[in-house]
Amino acid sequence: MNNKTTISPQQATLLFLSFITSSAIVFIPNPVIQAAHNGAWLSMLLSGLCGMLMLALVLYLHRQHPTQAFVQYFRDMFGAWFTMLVIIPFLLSLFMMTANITQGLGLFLTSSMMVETPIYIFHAFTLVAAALTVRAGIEVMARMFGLLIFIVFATVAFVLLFAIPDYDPGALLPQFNDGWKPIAYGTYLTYGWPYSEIFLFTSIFCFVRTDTIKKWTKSLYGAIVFHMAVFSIVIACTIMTFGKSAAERKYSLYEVARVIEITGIFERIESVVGITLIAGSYMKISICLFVLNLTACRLFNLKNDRLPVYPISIAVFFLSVTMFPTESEAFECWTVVWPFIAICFSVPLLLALAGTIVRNNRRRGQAPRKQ
Amino acid sequence: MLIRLTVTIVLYVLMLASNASALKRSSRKELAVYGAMTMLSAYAGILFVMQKQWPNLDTILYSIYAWPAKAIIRMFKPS
Repeated sequence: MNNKTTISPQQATLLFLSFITSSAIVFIPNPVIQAAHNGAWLSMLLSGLCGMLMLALVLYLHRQHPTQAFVQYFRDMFGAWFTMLVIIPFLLSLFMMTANITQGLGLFLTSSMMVETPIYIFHAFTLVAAALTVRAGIEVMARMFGLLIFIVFATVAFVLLFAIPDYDPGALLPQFNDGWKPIAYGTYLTYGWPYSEIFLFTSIFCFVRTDTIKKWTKSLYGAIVFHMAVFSIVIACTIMTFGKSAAERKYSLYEVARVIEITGIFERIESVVGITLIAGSYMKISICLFVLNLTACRLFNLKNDRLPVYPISIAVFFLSVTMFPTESEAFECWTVVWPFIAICFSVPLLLALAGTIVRNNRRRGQAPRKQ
Repeated sequence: MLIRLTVTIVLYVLMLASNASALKRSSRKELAVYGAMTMLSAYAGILFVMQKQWPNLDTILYSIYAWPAKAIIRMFKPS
């Protein structure tokens, strides 16, 4: 997991797409529809545009510091103590984020599919798999997630296509009946989760081979546009299937899959959505664990990058089973507090941007004097 | 409680067994970071085994972020 390990730009794009899509495709439609009602699709598009700005910022910093992870160049600019002050709250938030994703998967499985199994069994197996993946390194993750993200999108397409007979396009109306506030609320929610989490890629892009950076950035923006389109379609399909009650369906895609019934051929295919959620959550947990481990190693200048993976994973496991004892508390965290915490990730990013601009200006000022 | 305790012990034994050789070669700093992470997880582990609702990571983060987050949500609610 050292800096000599590299991934191709295409693999980085797949990792990026895996991260922003992941489990969110099952979890996000419900809170966004609750917030923005029929205008939820528009909220998704607006937050996607904000996500592009976030990506532009991350890519700018990557171009300025192509071989360093975020914590390394932040320390070079601001010194060790200030870096500790900024990065430790970020690390704590990242612990919470990883624990939240794990708990989301556990809650889904225990509330819909395997109700009698203790939730910590799912958490333990998921985190063991993710920890082993992180120990295997970013190259293995990049190669494997390409296949998994294909399975996720294929499953989503399968569910949405077979649910076509149940769609009622009239349910999408009226649009913008409640003014701009619900749409702004939906935009805020979806920007916080998943677009502002793009910040994590400041610690991943340093592994990408830098010889083809211009071509590569186009595919990253393409990934966001594709993601926006898929999410907007999932949201619209959920509304068309359930109408006004769409806001009450917790795992929207799962609920859409439940209504599919082609007698004699396909029945009870909702378990297919379980595959989407398990694969998506596993990918996102792996990426979060990777960044968590890398940031901790770079922050404390550890030589062995793989050593903290297991203690971090065990800490995440215990946090995931102790932080929120009830589903409603966990749901409140995801929809009320987490978007704000995720948006606060922009603060260190903006500080790094300011530091980089000041550094570049100083260099430009010094260059003519030397001549 | 017994099952939870078993799960906890199994996880820690697996962690230490797989890291044993690396830990022997580690520097003091690496051991300190490893120990600190393990201690942090052990606190949450105690909460898990004993099923206690003591202060946790969410308590720290909520004390910092909850009130502005809730204020923002109130701003978006239709009056």
